[in-house]
Amino acid sequence: MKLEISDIDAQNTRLSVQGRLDTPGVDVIETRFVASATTAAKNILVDLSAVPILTSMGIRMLISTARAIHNKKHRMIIFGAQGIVMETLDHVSLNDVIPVVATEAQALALLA
Amino acid sequence: MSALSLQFWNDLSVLDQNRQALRAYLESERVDPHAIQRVELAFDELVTNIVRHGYADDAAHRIRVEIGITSNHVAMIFDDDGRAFDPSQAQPPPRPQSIEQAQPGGLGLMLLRKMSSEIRYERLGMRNRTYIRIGIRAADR
Repeated sequence: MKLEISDIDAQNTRLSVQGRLDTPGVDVIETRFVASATTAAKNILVDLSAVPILTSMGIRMLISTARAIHNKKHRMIIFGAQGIVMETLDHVSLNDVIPVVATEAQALALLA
Repeated sequence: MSALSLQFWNDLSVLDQNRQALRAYLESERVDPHAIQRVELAFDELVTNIVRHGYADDAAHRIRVEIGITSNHVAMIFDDDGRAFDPSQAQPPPRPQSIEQAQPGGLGLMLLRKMSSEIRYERLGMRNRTYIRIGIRAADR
């Protein structure tokens, strides 16, 4: 389970998750993920392209983090989800509350 | 029907090793990779729900899961001695209109229902038995 944090520009930070966002995976990554996202004082782009499975524990982490970022007047956008991860996001209608797009370019366009 | 039997305590630290055993079994039976993901997701959701919400004490409780494969489905039977709970009757959380309204809880059982072609439940004495079937082929999902 890995989390890579990189600044895209002055306004946007990318969090790239690599590994399973299931109960054990969230247990490993959650503290650093939430801290990185909420202390950045930037918009957060979450890259899920290297996540093979996403369970409700991962969704809970995404929603809680997005709410904290929203309270700081920034936005969180998810991109790169594929296969069963995209299916899971669709099942819980996450796109209703957190934008979900295919690529980083589309995420940046939403923030422009 | 060959089968896998898993037994473990109500401790989420053992979830991943049991999930890996489940995956190895399904791969050895040549189950479709997409179906394996759905089975893993359902397994994670139900075991997590049992461990996090099933017990009113801090004692060790044994959870058993039997897994088998038919021509069309992966079938799982979860057996636990937690408080009575029928996951097939759980109501999904309301659909939120904004991030402020979004409720992080209740999504696991919603996903369990979405991933499963059948969920049945019975209370036997002091134990819950939950039967899950997940389609192997697209037509059976």
